[in-house]
Amino acid sequence: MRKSVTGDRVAGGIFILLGVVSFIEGLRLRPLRARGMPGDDAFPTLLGLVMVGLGAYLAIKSSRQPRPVSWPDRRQAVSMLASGAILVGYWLLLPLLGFPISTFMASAGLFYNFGHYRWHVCLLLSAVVTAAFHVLFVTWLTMPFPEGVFGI
Amino acid sequence: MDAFSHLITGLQAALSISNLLMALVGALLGTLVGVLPGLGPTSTMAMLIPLTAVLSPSSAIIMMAGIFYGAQYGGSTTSILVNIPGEVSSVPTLLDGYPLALQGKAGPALGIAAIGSFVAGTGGVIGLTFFAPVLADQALRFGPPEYFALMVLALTVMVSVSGSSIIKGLLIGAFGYLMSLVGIGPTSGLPRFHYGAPVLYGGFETVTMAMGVFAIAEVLAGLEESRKAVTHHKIEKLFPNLRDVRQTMPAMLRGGTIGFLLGLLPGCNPAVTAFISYDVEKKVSRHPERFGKGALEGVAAPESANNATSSAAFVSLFALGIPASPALAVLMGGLMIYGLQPGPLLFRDRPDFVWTIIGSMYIGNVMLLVLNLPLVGLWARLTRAPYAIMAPVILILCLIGSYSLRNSTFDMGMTLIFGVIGYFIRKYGWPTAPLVLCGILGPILEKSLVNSLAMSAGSPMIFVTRPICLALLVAAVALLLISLKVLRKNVKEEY
Repeated sequence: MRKSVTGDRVAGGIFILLGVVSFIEGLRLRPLRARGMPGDDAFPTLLGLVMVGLGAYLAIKSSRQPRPVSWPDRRQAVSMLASGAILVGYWLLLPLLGFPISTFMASAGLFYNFGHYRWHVCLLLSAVVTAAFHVLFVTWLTMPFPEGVFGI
Repeated sequence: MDAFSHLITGLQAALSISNLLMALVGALLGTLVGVLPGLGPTSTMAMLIPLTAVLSPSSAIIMMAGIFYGAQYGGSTTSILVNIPGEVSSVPTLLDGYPLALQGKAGPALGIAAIGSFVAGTGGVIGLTFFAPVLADQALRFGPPEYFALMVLALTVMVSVSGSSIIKGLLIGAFGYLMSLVGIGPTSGLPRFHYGAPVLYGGFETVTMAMGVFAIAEVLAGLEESRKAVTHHKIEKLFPNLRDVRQTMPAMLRGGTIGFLLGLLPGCNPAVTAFISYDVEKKVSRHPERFGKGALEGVAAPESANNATSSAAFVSLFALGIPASPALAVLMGGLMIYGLQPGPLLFRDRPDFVWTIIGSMYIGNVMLLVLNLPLVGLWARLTRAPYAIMAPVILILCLIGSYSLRNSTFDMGMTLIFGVIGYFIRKYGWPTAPLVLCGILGPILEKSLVNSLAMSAGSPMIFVTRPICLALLVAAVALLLISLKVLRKNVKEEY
């Protein structure tokens, strides 16, 4: 009988991998420790061993208990990916375009993606949100944000 | 009583128009700072230090103290309403607060959080008033071994917040701990897990992890479910009733006591006391299976604990001159600008100043309750606002909040990455709280272990030869056994 690859088995594999990474880092730091005393290597090494052990246990145990998981349909997946793309765009454009412009663009895109409002409604909502955050964070709390190429 | 008469004098001074105004400004700012994720009291207080040039010493310190303890009040609002922890210490609050909001009970949850914060915050100030010197001396007996044992005790909370699978909870906790190892090592001062990228030298902020795993992941899940609002349940009541208050008062008192006693220890994070009090409350409850699904006690206990901790932190500041946290270090800086050196001599040389501050803390707690309680109904109604409007605001707010931590877009990116990780963690039914818990405890655990072994020249016997340390370790084992027993009982009842 062919065993299906369950989520827990994949997770177990991921944790084994992370454990190995942590263990290797511990080995790298080992020469830096003082004799007889735990150094910066102690916890990465210990954590690595724990993660490998528990990850292996989970991967083995999972074959008896597959867990059904529901995934988003095509439409929902596209919407989620679009939101992710907008947020990544916001992250990348903030230093380039500055706080007001990038926030305005990102929030307009998100309002459209989440609510499928008409564009003029999205732009209006986005303007309100951007203005509110600008007053709150920049004017009142004087947080320093990047000004971008336009110097705003 | 000497302290009582000093307090009356202090209250009279605190009731002046200028001091009342400063207390109000501090309370408002603190609440706002607590509500906004990523923005902590430390940076806000630091930004307001220049005001010390124009304000009197008592007015400036009253305002900054108000920001400090007000932030603990505000942190619960977004935790309960939209699953965003405003402060890391509000993470335990969302474990039951957000489920309550989903059931249309955001009003009672917010109300209980405000009342619990007031009860415990005021109780903490009473402790500060009458017991500061005695308690401060006892707190000095805590060294690295005791801190290590305390962190081990706090780690037992992982069992309570791991759901039905301890293995998964341990693995998620280990992952959270692994994330906290990134950055500069405590002994060598050299970076770990950097792989040649200087941006990793600073490590990951715990707030970044919390916002990603809880808030971003929640919004992604809401998008997947095509949610129309945070809750579709009818909002049954906007405020807690007397029965809710009576039901949760023991939790408030227990949480407040735990928060105050642990908060006396310099460096004790309010998040640690909040998690511990949540765990204790779950253990003493006759129905622990309600926790994680919308138990009001699960909101009352951690909120009371974190507010009591913020009051207790002033004990070590005023009585010993030790700032318990970065925020109080900023406040101490403000004091020193005025030529005031915190410590036992401050009580002797400037009793008028110290007792004015303490008097204002009583007033500040009342102000916070008066400010927050009427707004509960308004906040609760937000849970019925269109999700298509709430969700983009939440996402943008999270990213702005993460940027504001260190003025770095790196933290924004990490919030997004943790958001994706959090989405998959939830998808497969894994617990998320252990990730944040171990992210907070891990560095303290490691540092205290290393310092303890340095004290004992490498001998682990130091942990069993010091009475307080041994008592805490025994308590940790006892709590672990109780947690396992409760977990086994819950799993049996569920299946």
